[in-house]
Amino acid sequence: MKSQTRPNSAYLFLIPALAFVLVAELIPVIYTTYFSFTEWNFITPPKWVGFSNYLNVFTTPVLINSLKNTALWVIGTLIFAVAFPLFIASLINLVPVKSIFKAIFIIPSTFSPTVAGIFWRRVLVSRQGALMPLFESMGITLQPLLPNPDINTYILIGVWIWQYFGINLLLFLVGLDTIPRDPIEAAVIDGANYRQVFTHVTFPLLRPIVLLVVANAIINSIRMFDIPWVMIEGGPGRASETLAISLYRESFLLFRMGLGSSIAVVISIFALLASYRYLAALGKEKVAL
Amino acid sequence: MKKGLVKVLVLAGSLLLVWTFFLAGAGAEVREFSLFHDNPEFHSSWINLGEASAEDIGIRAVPTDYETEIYASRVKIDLTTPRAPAVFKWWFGYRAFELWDAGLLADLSEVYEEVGEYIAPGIKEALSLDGVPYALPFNVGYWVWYYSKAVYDQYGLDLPETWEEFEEQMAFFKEEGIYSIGNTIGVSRWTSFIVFQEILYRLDADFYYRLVNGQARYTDPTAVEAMEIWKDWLEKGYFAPMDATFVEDIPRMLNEGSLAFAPFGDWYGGILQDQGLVPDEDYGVFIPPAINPEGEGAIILEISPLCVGVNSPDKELGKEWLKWYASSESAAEILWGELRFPSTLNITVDMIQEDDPVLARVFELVEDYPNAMIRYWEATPVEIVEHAVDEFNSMLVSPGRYMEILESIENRAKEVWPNYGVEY
Amino acid sequence: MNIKMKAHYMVLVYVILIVLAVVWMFPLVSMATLIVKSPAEFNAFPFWSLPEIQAMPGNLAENFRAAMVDAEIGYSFFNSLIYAMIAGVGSAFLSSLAGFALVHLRIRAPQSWFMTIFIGNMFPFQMFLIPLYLFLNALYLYDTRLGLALVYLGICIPFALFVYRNYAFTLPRDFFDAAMVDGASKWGSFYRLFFPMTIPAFAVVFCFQFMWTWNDLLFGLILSERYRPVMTALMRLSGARATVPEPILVTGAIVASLPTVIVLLVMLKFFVRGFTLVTEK
Repeated sequence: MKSQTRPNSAYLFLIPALAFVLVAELIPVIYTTYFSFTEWNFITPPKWVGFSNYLNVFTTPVLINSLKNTALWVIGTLIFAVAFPLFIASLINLVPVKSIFKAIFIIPSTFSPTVAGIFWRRVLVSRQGALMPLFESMGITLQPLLPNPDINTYILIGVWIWQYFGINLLLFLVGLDTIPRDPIEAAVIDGANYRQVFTHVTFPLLRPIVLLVVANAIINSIRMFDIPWVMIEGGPGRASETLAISLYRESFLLFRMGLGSSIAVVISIFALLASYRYLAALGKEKVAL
Repeated sequence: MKKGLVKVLVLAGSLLLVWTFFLAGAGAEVREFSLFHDNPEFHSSWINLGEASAEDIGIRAVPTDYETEIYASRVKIDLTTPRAPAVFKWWFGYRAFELWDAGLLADLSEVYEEVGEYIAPGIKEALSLDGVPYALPFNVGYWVWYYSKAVYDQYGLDLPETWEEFEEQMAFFKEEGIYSIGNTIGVSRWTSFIVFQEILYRLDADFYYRLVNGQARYTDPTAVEAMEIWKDWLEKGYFAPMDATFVEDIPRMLNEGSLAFAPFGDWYGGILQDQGLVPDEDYGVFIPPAINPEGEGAIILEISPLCVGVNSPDKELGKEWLKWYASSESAAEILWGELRFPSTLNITVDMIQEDDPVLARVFELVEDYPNAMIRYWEATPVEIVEHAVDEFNSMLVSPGRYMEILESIENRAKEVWPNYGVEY
Repeated sequence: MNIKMKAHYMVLVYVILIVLAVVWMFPLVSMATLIVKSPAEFNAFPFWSLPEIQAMPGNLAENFRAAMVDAEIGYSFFNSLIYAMIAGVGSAFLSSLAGFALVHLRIRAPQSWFMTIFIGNMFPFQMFLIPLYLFLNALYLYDTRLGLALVYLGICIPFALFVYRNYAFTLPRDFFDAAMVDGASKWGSFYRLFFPMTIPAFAVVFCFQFMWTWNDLLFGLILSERYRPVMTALMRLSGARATVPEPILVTGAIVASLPTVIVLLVMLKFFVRGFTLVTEK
């Protein structure tokens, strides 16, 4: 390679994107990290407090509850919005009327989480909701579901799955379509049954797409904000808060910017840890996953 | 190279032009300043107020309605900068104290000197800290109980005159399949303190006063007794379904006669009227009787203040505007005609009587209640209120936890009071 | 897959799929009954009662009008269109430049540059909120359409670059080297060769980032007041202070979803291709 004497104009192509990312994301990350070590209520200047905010994240009961809820969101998403659609995709592949099912499941994914929340709140509320009359006609009177702190996180996760399921299903169907036929046919000829074919042949071939979906599912669920916020604002009280809602509430409603920022950092660390494999694979040149 | 430089200069120049174009204000004849508020439902009236003042005195208030949820943080950040709003709606009591303490609110003595006569007596003192007035009233409201005329007419009942009658009626409503109390979670968490406040000061008004001022404890017998009454009501099923909203569902339930009471500030009449209820025909107000003699004569007061940001470059305009706001007939017309807010003395008792007999009734009723106390939301430090409100929400769905809840609030109070120089 | 399943398994498969499909359709069907009612009918009758069939189109039209005009969803719809177009087109274009440079031009340590940009995608958005608010305030861009559009654009770049870079790897490098030996400038070979050849990547990036920006709630909630994007406006209308009647709110929510539905349908081809694009080696 020849050595260059003039400044390399190739960097000019890179600079606009880099500048945007620096200003919109990387510098803010540094700021937020700094705030996370301070106490700041907006009206008096930030005061350095070391790690005490982080200590609070893991010792304050409401925040422990958010950590627990966020864990539920991640687990629920992985089971019901990743594993389950993979299973359903393999079922849909068995039936002749694929496109009808595909359409039905993909429609909710075209709505935003905000819209999904608005729909489902109307379905679930006790006054003029869609669900209660059906139960009443069967002689069952349900207590209001959303304000019930024991079950509402599960209901909110259900709404998210309703919304998120279709896009992953579509991905898996695409993946299944692009899998070469030969290994499967070979396995079938060797006498493998459906389950064996799936676990030993189909799934390994789907691995790249599964990894991508898993990484996205973790990142999306770990920062879940929209659905619990639109449907019940993390309530009643703070019962159904996720980390992202706690962050918002601590920062913007309770004016503990420092604590809010440290929650942001904690979410980031979890997200980075969870998607580490994805990142590590990216680190290798030319490997797209 | 030179050509390139010219290009850059031309580009920069045109950018600058575009920039100034975007930033340029309107014409110079009418001076403008920004006004912040968090009531989307009042926004059109704020615009009308701004336009009316532009016509009257050549100062236009340009209102922005913020997301209620970020309003407070937005205002707090801006108050420390020259972007501070000239006039903004805030809360009084401890919520204003924070800002006052940080030196962010302008002294409005001058405004009161000129137009104080238009403000009801006692308000200036309520809106003063260290003897310096920091705000004008946007709305002054008392806390009463709204009741459904449909329910009372159907059963031919009279309003309860003693606490026993009050509880008997609620038991009766329960038997009839009618909800008694419209205080729910819905989608607004702040309303959860209402029933606690309403029971507590009826038990002992002085205790309520001492509690919010850090001289009594949440685990004291009176507070526990209030929680026990509340728990009892919750467990008996007196409350409307917890997912009902107070702006839509509760008005409808009062209207159709499936709900008897809703405890709110007297601004709630405006919400009821928006939902198509007619004062005196569909709803009325009453003040439930005290439980103990110590609870007699007490009432809860709420003032929404308008403050001036001390760092705003337009603060003098803001003060001028507030003088107009307090004294002019056209402001009073909008405040009363559109919002039903009797904010200034330009709004007379006759006007109120004619347009909103229920609100007039509130003013009549409160004359027998000389002991006006501040609403819980503003009466005690913000850090305690916010925590208590969350805990009270959980009370609404799991009343059995009431002692745990009191202890939790007590712990927070212990942490917070020393920051306010109160030995607790 | 052509694996033969026993008949009773197939029955089970159908039962599972149909039950699931019914659950999935339930909210949509109930919302469909809602938007053909007038607010007065909604309040007066049980949820599942329907109005006269002749009255439905009129009710729907009136709900639509009330949502767009009275509840001002039309206005925020327009705002969102601006944000999503700028973020979609802008991030695709800037990333195509950067992707070209990273893969086909001589740059030291392209992998590190890529990771520097891509790491932005790994942080939860809440990480950026407060500083962005302070930046916009300092630049006098707070509460302007331009300010929020630039924020969305910036947030969209890491993922856009990810897609572009992967796509660029599929193009032979010699091709661009040859073009430059023939005297084409870097800009020329980008403009005449790379950009046209990567139109599928452009479509994928645009599709993704348009949808993301359109669906965003959080940034709109914190960084806008007068120029609210549509999801933030909907959130407000459904929140504690809102008194918008439910049929109007839901009609508005459905209208607000139409652009993403259209983008998704029209570009489904590209969209699916996009996923293979990001996973393909």
